Amino acid sequence: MSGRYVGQSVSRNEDARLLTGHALFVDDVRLEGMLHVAFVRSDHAHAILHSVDVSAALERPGVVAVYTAADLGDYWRPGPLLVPPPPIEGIVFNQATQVPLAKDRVRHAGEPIAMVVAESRYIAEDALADIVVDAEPLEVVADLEAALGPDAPIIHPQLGTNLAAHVVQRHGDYAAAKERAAVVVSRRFHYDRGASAAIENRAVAARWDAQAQEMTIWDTTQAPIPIRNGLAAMLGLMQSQVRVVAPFVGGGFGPKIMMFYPEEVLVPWAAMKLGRPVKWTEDRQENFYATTQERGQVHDAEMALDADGRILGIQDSFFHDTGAYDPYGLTVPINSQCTLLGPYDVPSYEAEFRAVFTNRITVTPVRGAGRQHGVFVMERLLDLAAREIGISAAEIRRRNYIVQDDFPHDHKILFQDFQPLVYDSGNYRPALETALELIRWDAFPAEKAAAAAEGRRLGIGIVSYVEGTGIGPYEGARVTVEPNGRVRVATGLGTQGQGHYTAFAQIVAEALDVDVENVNVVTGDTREFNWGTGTFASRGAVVAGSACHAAAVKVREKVIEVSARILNVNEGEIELSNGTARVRSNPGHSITLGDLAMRANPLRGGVTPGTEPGLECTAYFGPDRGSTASGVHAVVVEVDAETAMARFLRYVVVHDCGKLINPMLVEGQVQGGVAQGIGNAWFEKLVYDDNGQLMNASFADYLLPTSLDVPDVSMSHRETPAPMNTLGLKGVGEAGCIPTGAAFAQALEDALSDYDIEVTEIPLSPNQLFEMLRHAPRRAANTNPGTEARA
Amino acid sequence: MIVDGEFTFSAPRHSVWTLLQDPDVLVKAMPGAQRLITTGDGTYEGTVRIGVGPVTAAQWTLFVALHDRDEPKRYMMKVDTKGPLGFTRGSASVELSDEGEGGTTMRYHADLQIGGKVAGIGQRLLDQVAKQLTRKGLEALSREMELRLKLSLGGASASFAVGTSAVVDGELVGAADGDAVDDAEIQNPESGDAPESATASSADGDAAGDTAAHPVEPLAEVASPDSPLPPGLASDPAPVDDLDSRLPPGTV
Repeated sequence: MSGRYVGQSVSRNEDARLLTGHALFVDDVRLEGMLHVAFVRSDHAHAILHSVDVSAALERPGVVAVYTAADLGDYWRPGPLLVPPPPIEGIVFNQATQVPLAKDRVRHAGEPIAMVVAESRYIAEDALADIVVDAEPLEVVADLEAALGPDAPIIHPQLGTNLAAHVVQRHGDYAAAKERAAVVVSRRFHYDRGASAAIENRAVAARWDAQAQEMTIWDTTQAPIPIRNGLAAMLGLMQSQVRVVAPFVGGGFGPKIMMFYPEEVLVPWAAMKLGRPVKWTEDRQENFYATTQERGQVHDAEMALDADGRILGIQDSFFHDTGAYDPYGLTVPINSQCTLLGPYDVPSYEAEFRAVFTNRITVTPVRGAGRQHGVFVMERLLDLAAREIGISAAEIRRRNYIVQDDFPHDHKILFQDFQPLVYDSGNYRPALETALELIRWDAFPAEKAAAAAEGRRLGIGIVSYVEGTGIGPYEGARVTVEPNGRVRVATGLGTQGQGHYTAFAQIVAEALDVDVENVNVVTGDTREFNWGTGTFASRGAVVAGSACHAAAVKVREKVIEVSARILNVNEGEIELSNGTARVRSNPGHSITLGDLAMRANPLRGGVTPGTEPGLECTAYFGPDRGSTASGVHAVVVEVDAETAMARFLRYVVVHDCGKLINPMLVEGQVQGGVAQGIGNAWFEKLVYDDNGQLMNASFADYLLPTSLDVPDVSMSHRETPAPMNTLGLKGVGEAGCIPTGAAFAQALEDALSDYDIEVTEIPLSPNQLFEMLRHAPRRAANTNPGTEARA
Repeated sequence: MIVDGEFTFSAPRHSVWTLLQDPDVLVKAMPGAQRLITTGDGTYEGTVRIGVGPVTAAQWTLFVALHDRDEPKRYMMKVDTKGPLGFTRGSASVELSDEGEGGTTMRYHADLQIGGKVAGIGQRLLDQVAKQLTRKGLEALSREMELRLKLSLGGASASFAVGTSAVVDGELVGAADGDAVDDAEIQNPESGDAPESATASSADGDAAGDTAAHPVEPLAEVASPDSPLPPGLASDPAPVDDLDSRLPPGTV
């Protein structure tokens, strides 16, 4: 389906409201009698909590209540395990989930210890200083390998170990592959990530209406329906008594799909207990401690190749930092493990990881969700092998891509959706060739030489990746034609700026042949739609979009059936056009969809038994597995070897995300993803000291790239339609940020090819690069075959 | 975080040793110190008010315990501060050696762990701030020491009694001195506009700028009746004249 709307860059339906201040964000919620919340948070990364004295805080005027773990009674319990471990043979998994308020022990700096409810946030924050916490510091677990050593302090004594999980997946026979290999490359890699730094921090507001016995919760969540279900159960209410609204949300990027955060669990409880609306809004500094983030892995990886640079096998063993708790299971490290394979044919794979508890903030998915780590390892191994063999970075990738007729391609290991990792479709070589063209790869040696003559150092890099998207379990949508002719679409997931209000409207408008501006989309309100999971893993457009399409198609069938009856013709003679249903051979004989909707809902008389009233249908889409998107990133950087400052000059993304609903929205996703990728490669790093203290909990020291640091991305789109859904869609939400670190590393090495350096760690900083250059031996200029041999 | 260095006092080693452990002296010297009392032999408790860069000044409780004392050569300290903005914990060593004509060089080395909010947003400034606080503190300590020694020589100049803390009949009188490091709210050092506008204490006792005189506890609280005192201090606050008796003979 592509025509009037789908495939067009339609302007966004929601922008007028957003830009004129008519969009509701959670902090905009102001209710009469509303109280405000601040939390006492642990200063220590690991400590025994002996006592919390709140008496002075209670004396402060304006303070309405102060709660500690003891005050919660039965309500206090560890949160649910959101993602159970996948059914991998031999898996070891130790569950430890976050608690609403620390009881005997604190396990990371920033963990909430007490909740103050007051007439204003100012008073609540002042009251924090009144509260005396008696904490006995314990030794801190900071290093991943040491955490598993015999002398390490144990963060969860009931587990007896700091090992959160041990997973081994394999296919083929790596040992045999290594025997036959002509080239073996092995290295240790460090890949670290950071905070998602959404422009809107988290917030929760709740109102308990005791007369109606209804709870309304406004929450900046990416998953309103699961939150509704979980909180209803915790509060002892029926699901139908609880309404969760995720209104406009200023960016999600992953941490807002983490569920049952302490604040989420406590604010509604307090609202019920106090009989007044309660609101908590996070400030930026709090966000660094209170909201989850992604962090590092240490990989020991090895690749065995034949003399032509064909991969015979890969072995990878890594440590994954999961932070103080592991409520999100193993999604992130499994993604790393699986996404490492990339678009390449890897006959043997021996993959192992250990997830480790540390005394740092909990790790849950951030845009990319662990894929970055795996991609970095694979792409770096390929680059190192290419250098040894004497072929270019582009050529080694060409030689290893899965070929077009080898789909579906089964890697024989399990993915994050518990399904076998099977690539449904893909066509990788053409994307590479397009990217080479767009970045002007062939002309680059000349460009580089010309720049060198001016004293400037340029470097080029090209990398490839695949991304599993559009996974289940399912989403649903309800499409309704209202008597005024406007169409209402409701779906269960939430929106954080992706443009769902427009993309879904386009799909429905096309199916019903109505004006896209006459389609109203509602997302993120559990009262509007009751079933669904949430916005994550680049699945919104694919899964909810497909459900919208299915529902719209059913409505279309109803329109044809009812209008045929009313217009007294055969169904085959009906066509939909511009908001009306008409007889094809006699277009004047027509009825508007609005009138039809009214006629389909009579107030008097009989109906044919079995008829449903109105023009409304609900449909669900649940794939048994995801669809595989893929892409190639190419980048040109400039480096100053004296100051170790680097900048991105050109950035090319060639991506295949199946059919595009709205090219403009896709471009936005990719450009934004690249900005976050550049941040991850060169600017952003959460710095913890050995005592688990976060040292840069503000944007003064946690650096975000600015518009000056991010070039305009040149994009090209390829389409291998997804066979798993009618529209042929694949996800693209995370595509922009996945291989950036790997591309940057390759380009840096190319720019500094006369230094003997290897980039095996991301993010890098100018300081680190400076030290690397200072200690690096020089070699003859430009002996890097990556740029010489441009096969 | 490591804070180390050395400082030379123009006072003899025994005086320096004693005065370094005198809470009354320390409370005036420590930037932002509001209160410091002895809680035991070599243990102290107090409150200081300090801010760091973007972290506004707040009150911290301070616990210090001296140990491994080798009079008058060296001692060790355990330090603990706690406040709404975080905590610091650590230890320090202090070594004294004679220097030139009746002077003393103090070498100090502190290893502190910083945690909480101040660690998260004060990081870039912590080193500089620690150095500044230390320097100002030592300078103020030095001035206080000189003052005491001069006073002990018979109250030579009346001007010293004006606007400076003096011990009279067991009670502390007078506002805090012109030492402008009271209520140390140290702004970004690079901007050069630290609220202390005078680094030298002014004899007329004007507090500089917006730094208010900090309330100083009457000396009666310095020593609690039940706890042993550091050596050299009488159980009642000594009137000025008796300072003589604490100094080694021949001290200038």
